[in-house]
Amino acid sequence: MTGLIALPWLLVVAWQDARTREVDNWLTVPPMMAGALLWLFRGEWRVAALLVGLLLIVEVLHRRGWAMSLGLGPALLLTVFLSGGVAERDVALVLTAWFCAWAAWVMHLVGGADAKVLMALVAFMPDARLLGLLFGAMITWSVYHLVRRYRGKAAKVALAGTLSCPTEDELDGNGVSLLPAWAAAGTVYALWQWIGG
Amino acid sequence: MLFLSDRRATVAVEYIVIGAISLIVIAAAIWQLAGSIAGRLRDFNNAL
Repeated sequence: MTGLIALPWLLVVAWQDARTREVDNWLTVPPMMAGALLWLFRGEWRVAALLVGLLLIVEVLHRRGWAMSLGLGPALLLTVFLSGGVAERDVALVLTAWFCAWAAWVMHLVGGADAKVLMALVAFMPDARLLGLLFGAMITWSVYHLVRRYRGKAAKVALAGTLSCPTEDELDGNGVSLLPAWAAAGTVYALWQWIGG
Repeated sequence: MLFLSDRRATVAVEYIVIGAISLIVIAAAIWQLAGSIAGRLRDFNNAL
């Protein structure tokens, strides 16, 4: 049922991303917040606590003018602290995925809309298979664009990229739309669920 | 709210290798640590 609602939403954000390389906040923030609220209503406060913690870390670092990467350590400790006490594997999966999405944004690997879309998807469908599909789609999509952009030098560029981290300007200037790939992965997952009953 | 207001939906393809490795290592570390702590808590509760 959740997949039936999530798929059209995913297609809309992918369409907007493919057109403008951006997604309106009203399409990404409410679903992510709803995901945190859903877990809160289920009696699980840790997901909402992680979200508040991550937002606070970003705000403090931003207001002080410090590098966002300084927040990775405290956020990692917070995530481990919160997920350490959970008995339910789904909650641990959501907390891990949320931290990874946020960390990818902090490292300028993905944009904020991508991170929020992933957080919303995992909050409503905490399934390791979905996460694997999304991760696989991101890698495949990136490799495809690397080869298309650099041809024979793609491997060299990818290896050179391991020696440094992307900057905000590089993400803005050279980044490619990711959500169409995630929409494809979401469609595969929905079909998989549908066929599997 | 910098994170909430960021509308960009792009991926830095040139850095996908280091990004993928970092994310796998981070996710595995959290998963293992959380599992270990949860196991110890369970053992402690059972011992009480």
